[in-house]
Amino acid sequence: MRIEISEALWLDAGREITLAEMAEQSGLPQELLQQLADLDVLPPHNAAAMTFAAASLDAARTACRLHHDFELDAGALALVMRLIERVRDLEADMRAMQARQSQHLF
Amino acid sequence: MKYKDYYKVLGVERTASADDIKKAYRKLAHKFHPDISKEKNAKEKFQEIGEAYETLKNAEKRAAYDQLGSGFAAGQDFRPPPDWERQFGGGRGADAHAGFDEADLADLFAGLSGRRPGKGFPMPGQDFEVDTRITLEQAAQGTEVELNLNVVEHDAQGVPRRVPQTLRVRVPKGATDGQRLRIAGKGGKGFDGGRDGDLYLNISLAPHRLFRATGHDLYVDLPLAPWEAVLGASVEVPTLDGAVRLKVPAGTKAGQQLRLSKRGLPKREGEGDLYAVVQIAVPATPSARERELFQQLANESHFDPRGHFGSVKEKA
Repeated sequence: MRIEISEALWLDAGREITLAEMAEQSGLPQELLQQLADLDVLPPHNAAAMTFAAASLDAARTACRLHHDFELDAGALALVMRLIERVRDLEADMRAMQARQSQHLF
Repeated sequence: MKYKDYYKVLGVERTASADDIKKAYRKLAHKFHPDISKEKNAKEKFQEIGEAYETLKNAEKRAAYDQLGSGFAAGQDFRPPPDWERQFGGGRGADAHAGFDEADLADLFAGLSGRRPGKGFPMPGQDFEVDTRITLEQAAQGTEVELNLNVVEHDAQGVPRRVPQTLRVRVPKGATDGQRLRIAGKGGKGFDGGRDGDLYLNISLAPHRLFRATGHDLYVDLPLAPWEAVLGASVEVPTLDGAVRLKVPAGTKAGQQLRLSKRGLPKREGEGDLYAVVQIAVPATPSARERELFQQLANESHFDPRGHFGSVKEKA
């Protein structure tokens, strides 16, 4: 059994990745990535150079899973991604509200 | 190797048509897909469903699976029949058959239908996703987590086997709930020049006895005695770095939040804040003297906490 110590990188670290890197790391075909970028679901950080914020990788991986598991085309995928984003935002708001509320009332 | 009944996982007969298999998969995927499901164990359940569908949706893989036989119970130890490898394994040597003991059933089918390891096609390694839970203190200071993985590796002939691997990952300080880390090249091994997969670590924070976290900010309940809220006070408030004194202004109300700057979780630049959420606590069993003093206050005070109800007429 091997034991190794590995350094980890935050996915939301403020770095940029190219379209090719995004495709390789997310598993999404470049053409579909481009379509999702055009639909503003995965907007590039720099449209001219077609680079993405590393933070987008998480969303791209979600898109890849949904594309593969439900055979969704770009339009359906964009709709589902927007709805998932809304649900996640609402869940985050709910968690934040719960954190702000007193837990032990006297 | 453990047998898995892919037909049972999808809830279809062994004679089911490709269309029936697809329908059954879709129905289960809608219920258990981890990106949209709130079901308990959705991730594990969908992994089983996905694995079953990956094999049964493909005619060649399904035929290979059916050739394994149907006389096994799910979870039962079994070996593929002796001629199975010759028929479906791409002509690997007879020795390869013995190595299947260390493989997972899904590994046998992963390389079928054209692109087989060992046939000159570069195959990228699988990406792994692992959930890990750390404490708030570990998130604040950074920590190391130990992950026990079963990594698929292929021998020179492309025969898969599972290799246990323990990985220690340094989690930098400042982790927040739901954040993800990428450890490049620590997923499944690539084959024939394919890149190694990556490992993604999903961080969740364990509930804390005192603090609640949202992003890098922390919240703690701060119970005050009625006289501390009215007169103001200097009170001790716990933080992740130890207790600090906080000046509570006179006239503080229940529900107000008092901010302790930079006492939250560390960020890449700076720190989050800690908010003390004020509660007004009262003695559950006041002494006779306390009752007397409160009664005296009640008699003399003109304070009306419900004054804002004012003009609202009482409903019949």
